[in-house]
Amino acid sequence: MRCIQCGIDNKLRERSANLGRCKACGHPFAFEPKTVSNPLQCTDTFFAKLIQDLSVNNTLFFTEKQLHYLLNRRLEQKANRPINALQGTGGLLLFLGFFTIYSKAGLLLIPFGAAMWLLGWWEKRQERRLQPKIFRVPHPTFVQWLQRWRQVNGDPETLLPSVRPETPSPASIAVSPEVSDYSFDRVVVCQQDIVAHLLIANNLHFEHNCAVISLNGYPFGIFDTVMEMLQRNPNLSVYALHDASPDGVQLTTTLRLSQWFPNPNIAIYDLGLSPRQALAMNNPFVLSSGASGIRANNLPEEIRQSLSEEELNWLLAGNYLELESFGPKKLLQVVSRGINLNRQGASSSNDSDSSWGDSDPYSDSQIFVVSSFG
Amino acid sequence: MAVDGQPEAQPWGFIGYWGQSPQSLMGRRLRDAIAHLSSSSRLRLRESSSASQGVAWGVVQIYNGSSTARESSHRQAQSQSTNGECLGTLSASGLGSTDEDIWVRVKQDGSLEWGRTPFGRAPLYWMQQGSALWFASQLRYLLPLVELWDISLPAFYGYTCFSYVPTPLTPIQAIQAVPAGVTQQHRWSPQGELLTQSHLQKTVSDWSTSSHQLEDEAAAVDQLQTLLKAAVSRQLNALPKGPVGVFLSGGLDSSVVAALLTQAGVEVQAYSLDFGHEAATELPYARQTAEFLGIPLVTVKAEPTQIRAALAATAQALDLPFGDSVTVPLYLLNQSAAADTTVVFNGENGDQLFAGWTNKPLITARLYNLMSPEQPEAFDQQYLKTFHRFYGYETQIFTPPIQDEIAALSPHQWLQSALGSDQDPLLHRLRRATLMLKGAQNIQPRATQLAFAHGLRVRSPFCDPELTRWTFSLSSSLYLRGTCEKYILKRAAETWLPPEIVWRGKRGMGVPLTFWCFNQLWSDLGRWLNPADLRAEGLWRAHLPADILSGRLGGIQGRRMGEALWLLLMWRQWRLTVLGDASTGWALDHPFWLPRWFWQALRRG
Repeated sequence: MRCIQCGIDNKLRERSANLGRCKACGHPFAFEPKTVSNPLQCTDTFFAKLIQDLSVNNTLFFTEKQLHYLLNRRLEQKANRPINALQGTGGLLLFLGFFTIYSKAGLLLIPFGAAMWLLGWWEKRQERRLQPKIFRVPHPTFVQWLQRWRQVNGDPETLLPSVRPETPSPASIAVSPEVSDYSFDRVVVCQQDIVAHLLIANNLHFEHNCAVISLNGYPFGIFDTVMEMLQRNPNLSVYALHDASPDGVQLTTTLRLSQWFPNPNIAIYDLGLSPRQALAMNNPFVLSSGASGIRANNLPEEIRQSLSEEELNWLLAGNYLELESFGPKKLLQVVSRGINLNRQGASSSNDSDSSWGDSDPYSDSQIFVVSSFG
Repeated sequence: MAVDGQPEAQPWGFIGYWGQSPQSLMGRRLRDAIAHLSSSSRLRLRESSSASQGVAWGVVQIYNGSSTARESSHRQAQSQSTNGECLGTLSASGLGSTDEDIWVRVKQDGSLEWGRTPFGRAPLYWMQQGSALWFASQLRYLLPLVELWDISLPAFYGYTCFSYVPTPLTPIQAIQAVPAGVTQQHRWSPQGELLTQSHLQKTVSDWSTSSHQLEDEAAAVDQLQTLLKAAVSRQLNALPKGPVGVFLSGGLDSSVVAALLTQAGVEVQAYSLDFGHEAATELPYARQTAEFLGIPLVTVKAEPTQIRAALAATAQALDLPFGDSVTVPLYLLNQSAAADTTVVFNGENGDQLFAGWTNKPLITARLYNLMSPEQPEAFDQQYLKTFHRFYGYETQIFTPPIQDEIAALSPHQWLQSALGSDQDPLLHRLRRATLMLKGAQNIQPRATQLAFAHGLRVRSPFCDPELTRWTFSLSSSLYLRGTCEKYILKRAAETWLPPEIVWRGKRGMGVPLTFWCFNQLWSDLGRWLNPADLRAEGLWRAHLPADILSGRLGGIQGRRMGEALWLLLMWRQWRLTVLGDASTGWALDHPFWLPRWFWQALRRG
C-alpha cells in the first residue's frame, strides 16, 4: 500500500514492523486493508482519491453524505461482476461461432451468442436501474472511517461542517440598508439546509446574483432579510431543488403557499429530481425505506394526480433518490444550467430534465461577459 | 456640431529617452529601436532632440502616413507649452491638447514629468537603463532596447487573476507601466541617482463620496441629462467628413451615446456584432435602437472563421496580453468601422460609472458574509472573485516551480489603492474600484489599442471627468433600486430611447466561446495550445487546456471554461506576436486531434 504523504509502497510486513507507519516518511496509515475489521479493503490512497475526485482537486466544497455516497458507489463498482451469466454464455457462443464460422453451426452461434449477450446486458442494466441500493459501508462505520482519516490526515480542506440551526443564532442578524435595500433576480429554494449550505459554500449565490435558501429557513440569521428582499422583486424567478422523494415532489406546490411566493407572476422552475428522472437514470443510488413508503401513501391527492402511475408506484415502494447522491460538481452544473436556460428564454420546466442525465453539459456555454462596449 | 474640415494631425505614438548618457549613443539606440517602424509605409516618424545642463532627450513621434497638413504646427504648439518642453503627448480621441491621455514633459527646473489621465485610455511605459530613462506609448517600442528580457512572474500571476496585467507591472520585468491617474516626476541627484516622486492626480481624489448626497430623483435626472449632453458635446470637435462610427451593442450605454450624437446632428453609422445562431445575441436590440434613431447599422460577423483569422492580429494590436473573450470581436468591429470612418464612439465606462450589474454579486456576497461573523470574508477577497479567472486555482494551473515562486505574492496588493476606505458607501466604493481597475486597466486601454491598430480615434463620452465627479455626489439609492441597476441612467434616457431598450435587464455580450471550443475551434486548440509549447514555456501545466475542458478545475464549468481557455490562449498569442516566440514543436499528448465526440465518449466510458 502506498503512503499518501510520500508515495512509497509499503508491504504488509513493513507496515507491521513500523507500527502502521510509512517506512520512508513515518506518516501513519489511516487504514489497514489486511485486517479482519476492514473486509472491504479500504486503503489510504482509495480514500484520498475519493476526496480528490469529489472536491475536484480541492476546488469544490462537499458534504459528509456526498462522501458516504461516493464511497459506496465506488465499492459497488469494485464488487460488481463485470458480466452476468447470460453475457458470459453469449460471449462463449460468440467465441465458438467465430472459430466455426465456415460451418452452418457457426453461422447460427454468432447471432444467438450476440442476442444472449445483449439480453444479459439489458438484464444487468435493468437490475441496476430498478433495484434500490444498500450501503456496503453503513453510516456508523463510515463515520468511524472518516474520524480515523481526520486523526491521521486532518480535516479534508473542502469538507463542509454540518448545518447547526443554533449557529450563528436563530435570531435575525442586523443587515445594513445599503445591502438590504436591494433585491435579487432569482432565488434557489432547497429542500434541505445542507444543500443550500453546499451551494452557498461553492459560491452559487455570487455567480448568479442569486439568493439561496432552504425550506427550513436556512441561512438562519439572515433568512428574514433575504425573504424581505425577495418580496421586493415582482419578476422574481424561483428555482426549486429537491430529492426524488415524497417530500421532494411537494416542494413546488409548497412554494406557492402564502408564506412563500403566492404571486402567480413569479415563475417557479423545478430543478429538482423527480421519480420520472430517477427511473430513467442509468444506475442511480436509489434508497428505499418503509418510512418513505408511508409518506408516499399520505401524499395529497393533488400531488398524486401530477405523478404517473409508474412514478407513484416507485414512491409507494419506499424508493427515494437524494440530491446528495450526486457530487457538488453535478449539482452546481444542474442549477447553473437551469438558471442559464431560463435567462436565455427557455420557459418550460422540462428544460431541466436533461440536466440530470448524460446530456452535453456545454450547451449552455454562452459567455455573458462583464464588460461589453457599452 | 463642430466639424473641422482639416483636422490637426495627431501622433499615434511615441518613443523617447531622457538622461545623462551621451546623446549620440542614445540617439543611435533610439534609431535602432524604431528601425522596424521606419520600414512601414503606413507610418511616418518625426525625430527631435535637445540637450541642456548635462541632460539630453530625444523623441520620435509616430504619425499615420496619411496625416500631413498641420503636423509641424502641432509640434510647435507642443514645444511652446508653458509647463516646460513637451516631449510627447497622445490623445485617444484625437482631440489633442484639450483631451490628452498621456504626456511626457521636461519641466523648467530640468526634471522630467509624465502622467496618465485617470480613465487610462492610453498606456505609457518606461524603463531605466543606466543613466537614461526610456519611455514609449507602446510596450513593443521598448522591447528592442531590452537585450535579454525576462517575463515578470508577478505580472504573469496578475494576468491569470484579472485577465490583464495590473499596473505598474508589465509582462517584461525591465519595463514598467505608469498607473492611470498618476503623475511621476524624475530628476537626477548630484550622485547620478534617479529620484522619482509619484502623486495621484486630483481628478482621482475627487472620486470619493461627496459630503452632500443628492437624493432628489427629478433633480438628478435633470442634472444628468445636462451632463450627458455636455459630455457628448465635448467630443464633437475635429470630426471627419462623412459619418462617425458608433459601436452599438444593443445595451443601454452605447444606445445613449448613439441617441445623443443623433440629437446633436452628427452623421452616425452604427456597428454591431453577430456571433451566429448559437449565441444569445443582442443584435435584435441593436437593430431596434438603430431603427428608432434612424441610423444605418452595419452587422459585423464574429463567428469562428473570422475569430480564427483575426486572432494573431488582435494579440498584436493589443500590445499587452488582455485575456477577455471580447477582444477579437472588438477587433473585427474596429476593422469594419475603419473602412468607413476615422472616428468611433462607444459606451465604455457606463457600467463602471452607473453601477452596472457587476455590483450585484458583491452586494449578495456582503449579505451572505453575515452568515459567518466569526470568519467574515474580506472585501478585497470578495472583489477579487468578481474577476472569475484563475485565482484560487494556482496548484491546478501552474508548474510546481512557478507555484513556489508566486507563493509569496498576493493579488490583493493590486486592488488595495482602488478599493478605498471602509467608511465610504458600498456602491461608491465599488464604482471607484471598478473605474480604476476594470475600466482604467483593462477596458479603456484595450479599446484604444484596437482602434489605433485600424487608424481610428476612439471617443468615450462616459469617460468624462465632470460627469464622473458628479456621480459621486449622487445617493446610492439612485443607482440600484430593487433589482434594477443603473436606475438613474435609465430614468435620464427614457425619453431618448424605446422603453424595451432602456428597461430590459442587462445581459452583456454573449460570446459562445465554450461552444466554439468544443466544436468549430476544437482542433485549433491543439495547435494554439500545444503541450509542447506549454512545456517549453514552463509557466502553465502542459495539459491545462484539456483539464479545463474536462471540468477538472472544479468551479470553472460551462461558460467559464471558454473564458479560462481564452485567457491562456491570448497569453500564448501575445508571446508569439509581440515577443516573437516561435512554436517549439508538436506533441500529440492532448485530446484535440481526436474528434470531440470520441474524446467525450472515452471520458464517459
